[in-house]
Amino acid sequence: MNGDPLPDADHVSRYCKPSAVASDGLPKVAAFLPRDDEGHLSVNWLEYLDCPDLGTAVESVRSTFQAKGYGLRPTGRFAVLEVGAVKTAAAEGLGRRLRIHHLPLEDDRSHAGILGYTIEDLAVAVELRALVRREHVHPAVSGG
Amino acid sequence: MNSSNATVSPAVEDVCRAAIFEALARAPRSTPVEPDTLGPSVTILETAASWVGEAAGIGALAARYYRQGVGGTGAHGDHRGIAAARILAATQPLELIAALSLGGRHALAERIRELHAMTTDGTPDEPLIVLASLRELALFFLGQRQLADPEVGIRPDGLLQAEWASATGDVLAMNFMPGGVIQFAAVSAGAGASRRHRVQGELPQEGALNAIRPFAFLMDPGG
Repeated sequence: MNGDPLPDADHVSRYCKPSAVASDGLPKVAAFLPRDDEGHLSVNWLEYLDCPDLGTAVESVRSTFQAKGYGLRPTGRFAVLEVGAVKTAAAEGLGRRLRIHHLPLEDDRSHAGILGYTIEDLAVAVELRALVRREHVHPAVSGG
Repeated sequence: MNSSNATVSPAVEDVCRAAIFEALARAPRSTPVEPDTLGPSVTILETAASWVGEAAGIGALAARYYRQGVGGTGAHGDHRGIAAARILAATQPLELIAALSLGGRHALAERIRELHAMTTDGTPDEPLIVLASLRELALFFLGQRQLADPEVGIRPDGLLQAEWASATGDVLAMNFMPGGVIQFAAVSAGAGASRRHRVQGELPQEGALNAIRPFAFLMDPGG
């Protein structure tokens, strides 16, 4: 339902544009800074898609992006984060309370948002980046 | 400028002078003369005033950065002084990136060139690089030669971030804000979130560098 918090055990994916991907293929910190005009970091709730595994769910997100005309680039990436890990890192590391809520869009039903920080909160973005390991990163385009 | 001023190295004047000449040399191209409505003498004076204002700003920037160790024409056998002057006077990102390369930071310049290309190729939601932020970043790394080349990210508002990350989860990021202030944040890897070491803040460049010194292993070549 619109606005519901996501379960801690669930996962979200964040699309990292080519400019937000480092030379080693991992996301840069800038990938986790929200836009001022959005008020949250846009992500997709993977379990909502009811796929057999996270990789398949990311594939579904890819399809959604392409269907709505968003130009995914071969050098872009999807980074997967666990909801509980995000909240814990911000709370224990920085004393910040982040919320991750389902914010479905007409053309993107799994859309969600990480709320509770802004573009000025570099430390939060650093915490999120520090959670990402290579195995959490998926190509933005199949075979990319 | 007075070369006998004991608080400013004579070499800073070379950088200031070179930067101002660079700016003035391009002024007729970068400052188009508006159609004359008040008479030719007023137009000329207004144009000249804008050049002087630009030159004064460049001179102040050059002095600030030179005190932080950016300069070095000849003394270090490289082109840093000329590069600093060109960075200060640059009015376009590619011009500034070329100056950074001239100053010896070829790999970093190439990364920024690639970033600039990505932000201008029509990719959705890519912000344009803020020139003042690029200038701060370029001058910082021109002066801090001991630092390994960072990855360079761009915030949604176009400010640039230098960042380093280790395979074990250490991350350090520095956001270059116009005006010489760096916003920084770092986290070191640990067995759990509460055992990680962290630092964050917003300081003038020299202070920021000191604050993140415990994380210098991320920035040092081979660190």
